Amino acid sequence: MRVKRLRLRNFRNYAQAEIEPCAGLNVLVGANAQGKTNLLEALYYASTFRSLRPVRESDFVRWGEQEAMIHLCFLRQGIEEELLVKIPLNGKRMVWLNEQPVSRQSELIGRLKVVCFTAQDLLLVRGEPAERRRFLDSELSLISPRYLYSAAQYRRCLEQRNNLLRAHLEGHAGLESLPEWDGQLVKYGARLFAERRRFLEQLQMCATEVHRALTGGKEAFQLLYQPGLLHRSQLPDKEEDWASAFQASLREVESEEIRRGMTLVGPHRDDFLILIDGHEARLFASQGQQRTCALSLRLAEVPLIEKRIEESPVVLMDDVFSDLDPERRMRLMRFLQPRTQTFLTCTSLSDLADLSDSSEAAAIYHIQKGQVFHATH
Amino acid sequence: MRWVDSAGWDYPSKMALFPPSLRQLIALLERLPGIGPRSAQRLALYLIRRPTDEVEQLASALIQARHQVRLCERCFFLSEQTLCEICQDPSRDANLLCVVADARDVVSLERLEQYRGLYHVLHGLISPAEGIQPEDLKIRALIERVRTQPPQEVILATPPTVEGDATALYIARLLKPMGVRTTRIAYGMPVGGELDYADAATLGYALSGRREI
Ligand SMILES: Nc1ncnc2c1ncn2[C@@H]1O[C@H](COP(=O)(O)OP(=O)(O)OP(=O)(O)O)[C@@H](O)[C@H]1O
Ligand SMILES: [Mg+2]
Ligand SMILES: [Zn+2]
Repeated sequence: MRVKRLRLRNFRNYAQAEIEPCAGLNVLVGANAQGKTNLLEALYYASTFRSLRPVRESDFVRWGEQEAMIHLCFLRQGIEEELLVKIPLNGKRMVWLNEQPVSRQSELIGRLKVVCFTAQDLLLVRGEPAERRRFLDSELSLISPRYLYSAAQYRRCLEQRNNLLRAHLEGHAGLESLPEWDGQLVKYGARLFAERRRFLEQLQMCATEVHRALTGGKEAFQLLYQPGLLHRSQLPDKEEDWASAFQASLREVESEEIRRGMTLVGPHRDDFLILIDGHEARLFASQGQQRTCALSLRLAEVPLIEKRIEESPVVLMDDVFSDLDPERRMRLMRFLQPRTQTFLTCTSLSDLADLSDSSEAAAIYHIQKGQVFHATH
Repeated sequence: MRWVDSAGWDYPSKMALFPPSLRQLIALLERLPGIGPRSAQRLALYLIRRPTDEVEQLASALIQARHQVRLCERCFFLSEQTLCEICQDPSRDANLLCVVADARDVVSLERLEQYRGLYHVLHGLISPAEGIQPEDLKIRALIERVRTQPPQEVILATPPTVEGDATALYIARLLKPMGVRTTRIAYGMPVGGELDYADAATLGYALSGRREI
């Protein structure tokens, strides 16, 4: 899959811009605050219809203007497709796919497949378990509608059950309906456990492959699922077995849950450990190693997507080079090239000095105050 | 006089200019579900411009409905008598009892002209998040009703949401020792919606495809 042309109008700090990226490496270079990330954001948005930052869509509209526009031509299974997005300052965004208006989000998401790495992804390694659960949820929701549905049902059950336990603690409700909430929590929870376990196995395979490529096989990478149950070492295979393990944990903690007025076990307490040579990366890895782990996790999406759709996604990399030594930078480029079309931001071309020979097709774009200057070399 | 306050919200200061009776009307309309301050204002200004007899009709319809409509003593559907029209109808099959969350669900099911049994309206679903516990619903009355006049089958037609499922499962657990056949209507897809909004075809399918629970 690759982007053939991107046109922006009144998007973020771009009044008007157009690029026709090459099939290989596209470097966006410029000083701080010139619009490099904004350009990646446009591509990311055209793929996921989400933003890279926690903002409203209307924030995309260039200050003082009325409407932002993203116009994208890309190749999908060798066929050219065209996506046009208009985001008004007030009102609903409008999208045309191949000149047909499309309003259903599900028909739009992932039409263009991108994998996007940002500094934010370091939180996968360094952050709280909630960051990793959010990662699992967003990855799985893209693959499995059943997961998406079960996760929403689970959240609702959990909220109801916690409310019941709290109301009981405060003395204004009995626990008559607790067995029913338990039953449903277990039913949806077991699905989440089983799907997360299965996904983590695939993710581990793919991330290991990436990590091996990035480190030249010098580090052993491993993911360890830590289900939010009392006995974290048990990792059943089937959904029914997850259900009975969950049920058993619930029974064991029941009196404590009643005493504390909250649900203490379940997939909302899940985590997974990232190990390098058997040691937890969060606690022991160096900065460069942590960044490499985050990259391995994120870029594992590349082989995962390739297996699913038999085509490589477009890769977006924001500020990826900091903390990486020249060898890892080169290995990263070798992993991505010529496999994928890549968009990469950096503040200085010297970041690329050691890589000049490693990529066959490369284009360099200088980004200055919301303008793009193409430099052939 | 400033009409627009610092937050750009022009409503409160303008409101003060309306005469007292209109202000009271607006304040009362605002309490209705789904009506915000702006719609309340719009409705009130509309109403006071209508012909007097039309407004009187509306007012008396409100009072009449409020005084005459009550809950059927048997099934808790809405009625103007002790028993509702459905409960009074001798041609209805007393061996089938369909349990629904809301009075509107009875209307949706009746529109299908497919179901000929009786109903029981719970007036809500178990939902601790909204402070609704089993004792706040017509569940005890249902159990009592099944005990004294046991039907052959109780159909649990609460919506396919976690609250709808929990309520159905809770009732099924209480009915179990009574030995009455209990079924749950089948929803093909997880729709997460309310029975009231399901289209007729889906509902008909759901009713005929019910399963034992
Ligand atoms: N809606 C908007 N209209 C106009 N300008 C905007 C809008 N949104 C963001 N900007 C500006 O765009 C500028 C460039 O942002 P961007 O994040 O793309 O910079 P960058 O080139 O990635 O810089 P860095 O190297 O610091 O990451 C910011 O200074 C920001 O003020
Ligand atoms: Mg940036
Ligand atoms: Zn009745």
